[in-house]
Amino acid sequence: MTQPHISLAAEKIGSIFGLSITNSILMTWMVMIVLTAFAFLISRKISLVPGHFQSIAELTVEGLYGLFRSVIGEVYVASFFPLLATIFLFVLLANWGGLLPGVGTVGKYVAEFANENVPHVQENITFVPFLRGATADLNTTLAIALVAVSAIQYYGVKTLGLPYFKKFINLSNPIMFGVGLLEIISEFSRIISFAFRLFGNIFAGEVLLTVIAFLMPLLAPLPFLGLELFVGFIQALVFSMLTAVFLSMATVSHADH
Amino acid sequence: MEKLGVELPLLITQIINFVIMIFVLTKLLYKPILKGLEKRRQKIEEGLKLTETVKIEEEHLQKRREEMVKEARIEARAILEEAKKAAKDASDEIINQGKQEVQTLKLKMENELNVRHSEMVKKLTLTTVTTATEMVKKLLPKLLNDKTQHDLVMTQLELMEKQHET
Repeated sequence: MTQPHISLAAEKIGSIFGLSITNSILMTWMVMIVLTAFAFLISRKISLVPGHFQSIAELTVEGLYGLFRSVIGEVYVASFFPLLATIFLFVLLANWGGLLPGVGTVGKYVAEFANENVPHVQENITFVPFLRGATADLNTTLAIALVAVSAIQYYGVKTLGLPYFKKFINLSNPIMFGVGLLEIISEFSRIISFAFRLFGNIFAGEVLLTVIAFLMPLLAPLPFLGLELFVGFIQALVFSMLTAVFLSMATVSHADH
Repeated sequence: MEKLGVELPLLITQIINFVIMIFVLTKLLYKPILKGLEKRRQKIEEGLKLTETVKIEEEHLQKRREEMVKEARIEARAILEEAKKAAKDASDEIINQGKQEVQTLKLKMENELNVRHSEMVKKLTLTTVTTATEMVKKLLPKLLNDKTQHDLVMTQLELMEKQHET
């Protein structure tokens, strides 16, 4: 019986101009194509009386806008909305993309060698899937987390100016200096928490589905698929909502806290 | 980090991918949709305002119409009263005129009757005199002789003389 394929890192499936292409990057591009195609179809013919596609897009955009407005407030929502909505839509589709049939299951077998200098000695044969859930790769979640935290710092400086850095470097007294250090650590911990929370949840879900499908391929994975759909949605919402909250906090001066 | 699969080139690629996605979705999805929603909101607002204006205008027109109907009724009643009065005046005038005409006609007829009566009396008198004259002419020679004629003439002459004396 073949063992189920579980790999913490995304597998390389090729390279373009020297850049390694992993199965998760391929999935990211597919998500980008789907989102761009949907956006292009919508923007091509926007009418006052919406059709099916436009209604879906309006419902999504308007719902997200209202949700983020309730967190951030009317003043900054227009500025922050593109980043927050993209986080939600991109993470949601990336999460759900990993649940599609064929993702993680269709691939090729590659021979791994114990010693690269002696290629004829074959160690074992590993399975490399062509596609992998984009958010089941730490590179993707870390990239989104870095963009989100960078945006938080950018909008903080843009809104408050140089006094924004007062919360990090405050030499007024030793306690505030210590608090500042904690703030710096907290900013970096945000990157890690953002990246690992999403990666952990999605990767764990995929592992769970793989194991269940390995143990009982028929019917048993269905409830877990439903659960993973829900987890995918919740994780997208959590990522975008936390970014919204942090953005909202960054645009308020430290004295107002 | 290497064991977790984190590699700088892959990380940078994903950052670029995500930033591209932000720009593409902003340009193709969020901006057009939010613009469309704002446009629709404005249209709905305009429509509601217009409906409110039309409603107020309709109420105003309804009020004005009721006033006009009321005024028209009062005016119609006044016209009717005036018409009745005018008709009564006209009928009275016609009746009076008729009476006058009848009176005039009556007088005219009476005059005419009187004239005719007088003429008839004259004619009758003339006819009677003529007939009497004729009868006298025919009968007198037979009734009166010379002596009677003489006596009669004399009687008459005496009578005339007496009358003359008185």
